[in-house]
Formats: sequence, C-alpha cells, structure tokens
Amino acid sequence: MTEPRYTEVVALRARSLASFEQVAAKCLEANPRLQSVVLGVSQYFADEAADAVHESLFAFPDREPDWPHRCTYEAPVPGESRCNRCDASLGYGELDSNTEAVFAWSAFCAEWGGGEGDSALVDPIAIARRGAGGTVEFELVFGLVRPWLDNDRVAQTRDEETWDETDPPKPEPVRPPWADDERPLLDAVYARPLDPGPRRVLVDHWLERGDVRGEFGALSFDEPATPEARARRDELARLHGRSWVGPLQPVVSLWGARFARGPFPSRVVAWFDDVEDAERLAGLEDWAVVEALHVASSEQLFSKAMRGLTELTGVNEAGLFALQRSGLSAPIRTLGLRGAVTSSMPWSPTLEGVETLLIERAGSDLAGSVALPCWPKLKSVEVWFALEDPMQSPAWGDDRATEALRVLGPKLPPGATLTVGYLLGNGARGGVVAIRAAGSAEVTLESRLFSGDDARSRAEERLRSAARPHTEVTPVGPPPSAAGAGEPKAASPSALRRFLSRFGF
Amino acid sequence: MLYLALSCLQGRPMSGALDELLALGPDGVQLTPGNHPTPRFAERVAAVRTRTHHGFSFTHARHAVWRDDGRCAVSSDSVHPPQRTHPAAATFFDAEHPVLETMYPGYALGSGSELEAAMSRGLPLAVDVSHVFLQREAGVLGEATWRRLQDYARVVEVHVSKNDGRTDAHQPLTAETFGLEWARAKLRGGTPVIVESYLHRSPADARRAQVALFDQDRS
Repeated sequence: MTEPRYTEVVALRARSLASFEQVAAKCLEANPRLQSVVLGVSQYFADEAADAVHESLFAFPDREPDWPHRCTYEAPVPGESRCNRCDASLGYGELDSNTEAVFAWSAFCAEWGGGEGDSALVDPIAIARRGAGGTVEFELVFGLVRPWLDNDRVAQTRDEETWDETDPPKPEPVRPPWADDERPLLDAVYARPLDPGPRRVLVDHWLERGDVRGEFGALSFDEPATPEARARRDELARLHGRSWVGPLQPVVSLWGARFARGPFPSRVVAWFDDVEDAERLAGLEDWAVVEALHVASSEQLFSKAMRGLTELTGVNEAGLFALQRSGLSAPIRTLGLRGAVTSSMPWSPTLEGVETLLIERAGSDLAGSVALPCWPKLKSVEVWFALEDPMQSPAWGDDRATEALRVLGPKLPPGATLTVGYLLGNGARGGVVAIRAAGSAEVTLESRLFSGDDARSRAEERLRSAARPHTEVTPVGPPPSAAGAGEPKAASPSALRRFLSRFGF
Repeated sequence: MLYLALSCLQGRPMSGALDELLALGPDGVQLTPGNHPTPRFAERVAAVRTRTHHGFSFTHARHAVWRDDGRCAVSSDSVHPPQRTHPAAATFFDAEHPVLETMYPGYALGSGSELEAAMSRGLPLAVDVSHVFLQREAGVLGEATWRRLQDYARVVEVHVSKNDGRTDAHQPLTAETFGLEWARAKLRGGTPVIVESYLHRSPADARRAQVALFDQDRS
C-alpha cells in the first residue's frame, strides 16, 4: 500500500456513502410508499477485540424515521410500541464489517457495548429522503463521538499485530515549508485571521506560482457556481487537506478538519489526551486561522494563538479554567459546554460576546446552571441531553426538557430562546423536545429524527401535562429539512458530493 | 485479588481507560486486547498489578494469538482457545500454550465434553462464568460437569460478567448473575477474579457498585 492510511480511511467513508446514495435512490424509486432511507452503524465489541461495525439500512414510510429504532421482531422499548412500518430488507451496507467498516466508522459509533443484531443499538449516519420531482435529498446526521479513533496513528495500530515484522507507521503528508516570499503574507493572515484580504493576497500568490493551494483557495471563498468547480474543490481538499493541517496534525482528527477561505483549517476537532508535546502544539501560530474549535478530549489546552476563534465547543470545566489561564482574547460568539455546569466554573472575559450557548451532555442535574452568567449578547441557549440508553423510554426526554425549562427558562435574557433536545448515541441530534422564547409562556414541540406520528402525539401530550399550568404546548408542523434549508430542495447525486465536501471528502 | 479488565472500557485509549478503572479501587488491572495504544503505556502500567489476557499488545489494538499450526503466538496469563473453524483448532490442545479459558459453542472448550477432557488432563483453566452460562443455556454443559468445574483444583483465574444466555454481551454484574457466588468464593480462596463488564455507559456510582459486589471477599 503506497498511500498513507488516512487516505484509505477517508476513501472508505466516501465509498460507503456513495453506495448508500445509490441503494437509497433505487429503493425510493422502486417503492412509492417509502419516504426515507437510513444508513445506520453499530459497533459490536467482541471478546477478542475482533470487533465488527455493521452498516444497516432501513427504509421508512415517513420523511422522519423512527429513532431510536426497534424493529417488529425485537423487544419493544418500555412504554412504546415497536416500529412496524420500516423495511429492513435492504440489508447491510457496502463495507466489510470486520475490517473496512471498523476502519471507516468506529469513530462515529456509540459505545453501547453490544450491537450484534440489535437494531436499537444502531445509530444513524445518513438519511436519504424523497425530494421533489423524483430527486433524493441526503443528509449526514452524526457527530464524532470517539475522536481518538480518527487519527493517522490508529489507522496503523488497528491492524492485528502478528509474528511477522510490522511495517513502521507511514508518515502523514507534510505541509511544504513556507518560502521566504510567503512568510510576510502568511504573517498578515495570522495577524488578521478573520479578514479575507490577506488571505486573498496569499491565495493569489499561490495561484501565480501554480501552487495547488492557490487553485483550492480560489474556489473556497464563495460557493463555486458549477458542479465541476465544486467537485474540483472537494477533490483538492480530499487529496491535500491533511497536509494543510500542517503541524496541528497530532491533535486534529482526520474527519475533524474543514477548510474555508483558503487552504486553512477553519473548523477542527482537537484531541489533546495522551499527545506528546501537547502544550507546545496548543501554542503554535497555526491556530490563528482556526475559527471553530471543538475540543473532544478531557485535557483541554488553549493559547493566545487561537485569536481567530468565533466558535468554541466541547469545553469542560477544566477547559474553562485553562481558557481563563491562557489569556486568550478571541471574538467567540458560540460557546459549547460539555458535562454538568457547576457554580465554580470560571468565565473568561473573552466569553463576554457569546451569543449562542450550547450545553451538551449535562446529565440530569442542571442545578449548577443557575450560576451561568447573563452575557449581554446572549440570544440562544441550547441544552442537548445525551440518550443514556437506546431502550430509554421517550418520556425520559420530556422529563429532561421540563427540568431544563424550569431551571434555565427564568434566566433567559429578553429576546433569547431556549431549545432542549437530545443526542443519539453517536452524537447525532435526535430531536428537539422543546423550544421556549424568553418572556413567553408558550412552549413548542418539534420532532426531527425520532418517532412517527403516534409517538409524536404521545410526546406532545406528555410535555403538555408536564408544562401545565404555566405553559401551553403548541405542536408545530414538520421541521425544515435537516440541512436547515427550509423547503425540500431538489437534490441529486451531486448534492451528496457537495455535502461531503463540508466534511473533507 | 480483584482485577478489572481493560476491556471494561474497550475501544478507549489505554491510558485513559487505565485511569478510570484504577479510580474504582481494584487490586489490579487485566490487560486485554481492544484498546487504543497510547504513548508510554508500558511505563505507566509498570507500577500497577497486572495480568495479561489473550492478544493484548502495547502497540496494536490486538495481537494474533494462534498460528495455523496450533502454536500459540503470545505469552499472556490466559488465552481463548481457537475458534472451531481456525486451523489451529485441530492441534492446539497438544501444543504448548498459556492457561486456556472456558469458552462457548463455536470455540474449542466450548462444551461440557471438552471441559471434561481438559480437566481429565489436568490442564489449568481460566473459568469465565458468563461463558459457562452460555454453554448451560445452549444445552451443551450438564450440571455434573459444571459441579466438577467448580470443584476443579486447577482453576487459576475466574472471569465474570453478565449476559442473557444468548450472546457474550459483557453486561454489568448484578447480585443474581450466574456464577457470581462461586466467583466470590474463589476470590475469598485466593483465586484472581477479573470483572469484564462493559462500563462505558455506566455512571460512576454504578461502576463503583461493580467492585463493591466483592468488598466482603477481598483480603
């Protein structure tokens, strides 16, 4: 094998999704009754670590598939009926369960432990929905829940060790060193990371030299007008993106980097646990171009170099202390907290401009949330509970929503909204349980991924009862398409390509 | 000694899994395959009482265990016998190998008759009570053999977790888990007992409860 392993892993994911695209399109074309098809994955932890990742396909008569999902032949979730409408005859996905799918999807599989032959342990990766005019819309719906399995090193070590001599790890692709005439242009980018001007100057410089970074850069400031241009942009990112991550590679996951406004990693998922020299890596000047940082590790490191951050998520309590110690000053508008909110959390001055606050995986106790500061620009608070058990009764979500409304509702500044939802095992946003606007007694209920009409009605009734007498529940119609684009869009196979480009394919 | 298997947090980075398991207060940790190698883990674990199991490797998620000719390729404290379909299944029994673990249908030592043969030859055994339960539920292990196994003098390791009798699900233990009382007695008698339940989703108090099940049995 001559390619670095990371390329192989990324290619496997693309192959899996392309196969799903074809199968789903054929399925929807041949079965007018069906409205959506789901590609789900589950990891089976085997006793000998001969783990398997199963790609399962399910088709549904509704645009929003039932999830968590129990097939008719399985035991029901307590208090709920089993799905009796899905079509599970599509079978399995493209990749081999014991090798390729493990490489490709382990990082996106929930740690349910089991997963062998139990559809409740399958979490969705992608949804295909029937669109207008015979088209199909595709959506990727997962999060990166096990980022430690999404780096170059794990691609080396996951192969079984044998008595034969093992090949040394293949090096990651190297970013070319900065030339003397590039350096001042780069310094200007790092000095004003949110200003597109210096970036365009550097991209023009690369274009004049025939450097592939210039070609990508020219395609990356605005959405390219033609499918061919978009495809070329995506191909360049897939082939060269890892090298553009440069010295940040040891702490940035393969899937985690996106590139925008030049060949710069603008969105990254970072992992600092067990990384040698992590403190030095966190201080590299290269962080200046990172605008959205999700810290997935327990160890959380920040530095003044991260001055371009507008979105910072995955932050735990230790991370807030580290952020304060770092002295970082950045225009952070979105803050994502991970885990319980406590009254002892420190709030760095750099968070004064936060407009959106995400609280993820906070557990059942939100009492500490009363200590959250009321940032002056705060417009939106989102609480995302983690589904603790795929067999959990949906009433669990309503209980959590009620508690969140009780604790956080009174803290909302004027004009702000509170959204409560839950995350599936693989980090996919399972559903919005409740939305409440500040100063309003009205609570609305939406459903995105979970439950058909019957379960939805039951959920509405539960929440209505829980919210009484202070609030009224107003059920709303089907939510916008998951890509957030409102009305269903005409889509085609190229739609998936465009979507994948956002994820580095 | 009560051990927690690293596979209680299978798939996690080795160092992080070790830290989380040690925080629960076991006497030691069994190094098992399936975790993500982390730098200097061998140095880190040197100060911890450990046992090794099957294809554990410091540098890979797992090491191959059985060569096709029946020779064992690892020197762990205990290993699984080969699967029935593995070429080694025909010859491993007579080759030199570490302590063998009682398995379930599909594997060698996966039935009562094979356990009888192993005991008759005086082989030291690692008894996994959850695998024994799978044999019992599959109807391939009789009461008499199970009794003989419990009294067998060369049980050198006991593995415990819970399952539903159909798949080796490694669920957390409960007080009623099959074989737990016998395992606790073996622990009181000095035989190492290894808890192998998947604890990824268990909250802290539930994890501590797994260890607490053995509080009265530890010296």
